[in-house]
Amino acid sequence: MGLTRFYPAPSDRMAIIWSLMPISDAVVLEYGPAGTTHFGGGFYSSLGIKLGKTLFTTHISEDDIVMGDVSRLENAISEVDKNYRPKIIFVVASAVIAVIGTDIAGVCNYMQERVNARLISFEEGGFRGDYTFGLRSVYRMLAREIIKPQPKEEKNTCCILGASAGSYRIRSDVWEIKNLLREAFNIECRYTMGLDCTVEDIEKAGAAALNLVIREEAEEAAQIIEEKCGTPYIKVAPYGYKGTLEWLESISTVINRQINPTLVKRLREKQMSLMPMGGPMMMGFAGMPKKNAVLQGDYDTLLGFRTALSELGFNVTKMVCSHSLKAVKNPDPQVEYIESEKERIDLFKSLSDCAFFGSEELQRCVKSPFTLISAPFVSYEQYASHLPFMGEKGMDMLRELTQE
Amino acid sequence: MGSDGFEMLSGLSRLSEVSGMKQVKPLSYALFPGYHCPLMGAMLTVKETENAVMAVIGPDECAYYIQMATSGGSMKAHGCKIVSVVLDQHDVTFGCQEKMDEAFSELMEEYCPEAVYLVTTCVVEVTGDDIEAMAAGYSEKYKLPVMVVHAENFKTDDHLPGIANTLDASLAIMERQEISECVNVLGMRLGDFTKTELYRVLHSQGIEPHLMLPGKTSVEKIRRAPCAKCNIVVHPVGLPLAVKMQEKFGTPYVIFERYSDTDRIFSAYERLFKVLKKELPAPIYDNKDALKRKIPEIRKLAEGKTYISGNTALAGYELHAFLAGALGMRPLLLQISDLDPEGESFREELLQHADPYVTRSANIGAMRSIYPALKPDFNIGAGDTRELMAQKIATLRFVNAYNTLGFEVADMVLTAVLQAEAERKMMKEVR
Repeated sequence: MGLTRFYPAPSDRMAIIWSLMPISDAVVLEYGPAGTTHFGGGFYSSLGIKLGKTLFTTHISEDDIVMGDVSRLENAISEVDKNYRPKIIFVVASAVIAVIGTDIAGVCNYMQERVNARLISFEEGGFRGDYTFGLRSVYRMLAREIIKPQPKEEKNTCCILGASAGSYRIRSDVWEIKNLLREAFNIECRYTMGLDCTVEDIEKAGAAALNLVIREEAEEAAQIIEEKCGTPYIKVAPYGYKGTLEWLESISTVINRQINPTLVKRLREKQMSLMPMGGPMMMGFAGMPKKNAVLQGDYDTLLGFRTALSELGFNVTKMVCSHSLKAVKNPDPQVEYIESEKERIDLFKSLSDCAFFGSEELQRCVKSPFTLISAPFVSYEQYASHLPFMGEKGMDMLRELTQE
Repeated sequence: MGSDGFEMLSGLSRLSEVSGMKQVKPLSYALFPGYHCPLMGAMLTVKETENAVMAVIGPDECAYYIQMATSGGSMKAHGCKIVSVVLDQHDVTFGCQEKMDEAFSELMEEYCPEAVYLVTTCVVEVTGDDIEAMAAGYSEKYKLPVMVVHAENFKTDDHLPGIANTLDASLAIMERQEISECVNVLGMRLGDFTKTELYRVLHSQGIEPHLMLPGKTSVEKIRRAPCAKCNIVVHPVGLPLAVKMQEKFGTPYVIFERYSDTDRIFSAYERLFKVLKKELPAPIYDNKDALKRKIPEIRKLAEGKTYISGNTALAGYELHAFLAGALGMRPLLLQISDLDPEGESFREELLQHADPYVTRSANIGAMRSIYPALKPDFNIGAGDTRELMAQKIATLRFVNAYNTLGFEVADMVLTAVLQAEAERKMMKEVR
């Protein structure tokens, strides 16, 4: 497993940056070589993140490395604080800074007295694990450090936790979740952590009636907020008609409110139409052989798609996770992580006679039918924010995409 | 919110006051987008070399970005396979030899390349793994050239050393050859040499380019590069290799950069044809005379006009010496990434006419604050288009610059000045 032919899994550091940049009145300051930031700008932009005044680099020189000179960082912090007046400056170490062990937390500590912005450092540098570790780190930090205890004033609001900009079609998924909540309970979303929010949104997140956790990595943050603010949470993402109904029912139980019956009726009808004799040309039609499907993606994406595709009559035969399962509690036994790229590629190339759902890596190895559902997706621009995989509309789209 | 342009300017030095890049201050300590790194330069150079493999040795982030850059779009790799050896905490702590051995074995088995470029990044340069020794070992074991390109970012403010180091490393592939009627083109960073005037002139005289590096090439072409009658160095990044080829194979070189001044272009042609032992073709004289006649007319419009400039595809200091000298324009601020010895004479020439502020390049975010402080007539190079328009600053656009060499460069520059002046007038009329 020495050679990497395609994309490696993004590092913790990359996920930290793509989750912090969308916080609109904060700034991410990278302490490290400018080339990383220049390349990174293109990458984060491809995830739909706005670059203006959100990301800066200090650059570093040989002197900084050899002499341990941190004056560049000090000056950059002062300058960003003065010129852009952000509420928070997130100082993120680059890989080389992590290797030489510069104490950026220490620098932030003493610089805190000299600036108005709050300084928060991330010293991971890309060596503590893959992007899921970065997501956990950011969500945990936001819950611990930024969210303030709030009186429970808002009965009609919720927050979405775990919507990562690195997930394919995430903005569409969030759009669908918001629509469903509005229609089902007349609930509005206060903010989406790490995707679309302000510092104030996060500070006051405790006022919401409920937190919706849509991926594993945000659960710890939800627990912290529950402890801190008494906000209950549910952890599941709505995939498939049945899955969406169950998701709505979970919310209904927690907030003790009825689901809009019109929506329930519509989802039930669609669910019925998938059943044997429920309608024409259905994948699960009685007597029709089940088609095999292979999935590749984030852990929660895999579980969600298995739910949705099973409803469509697919037999999910393989679920290959794009990241390590080390931090996943009691991982589903069908989900496997294959660390070696070569083994992964060999496996993908050996598969045939099934539908594939995954990333560009899988796409390179297999013949159609292929559906892009997960990262990396760098060759594909995302223009729409109304074409989800989650929820009712997501299932509508999957039905169309998987028609024979 | 934003920076104070006047305060920024007060911290900058003038061109006459600096002799090394350490004296050139950035507009701000927080940069965006920041400089490209040498890894990018190495990638630009190798990506079109058929039957070569480029292996990036570094953290997953460097590997990810380089794959992203070369998997599509204008920087898509053709012919050359680009792979990575991703270093984790274990490799950083205990060394990467074991992983490198395994990766190299896989690489040889899967791609059977004719040459391999091992490109380092910041992390591996800091940990001190002896990649040179590993390369020598692989070269001996697998019987092929394995070259190390050092591409750490913390020693430089741009990607050009990555190109120069890759060119330099390619010397290891070359073997002595019989001389034939062809030339090598060294240092054409972007663009296509076969679309240039220089190519057409050479072609008309029966001289074809053999190796174009960077450019579409192959390991075999690099191996046979010493067959050229001479090397044409079109950018200083090609100079170290040209010097070494002269030393090792006796291949002479001629510097023929993307000059704007007609006399300099003419001299470059003269030097080149002297080395080629051929008569200077008649159209060269005609082109020179025609352009020289144009200059006084354009000077009337351009004289006294002020500008700020970032990096361009042209020979930077030479361009400014031409604009200030021949056209009487006034550079107010130059964003630079080097004070190279090759540009020294042009800087001296420029200083006879103007002494602009100098600052480090690739900081467009901070440049926004400079526009209202300096109020130049024109901007050259990258900039914040919306803000430039808001400030009624016209842009000198060098259209298709990467595909030009010869008198067409001067023509392009003069046309750009004319068009920018028209744009400036139009902007002023719109209240």
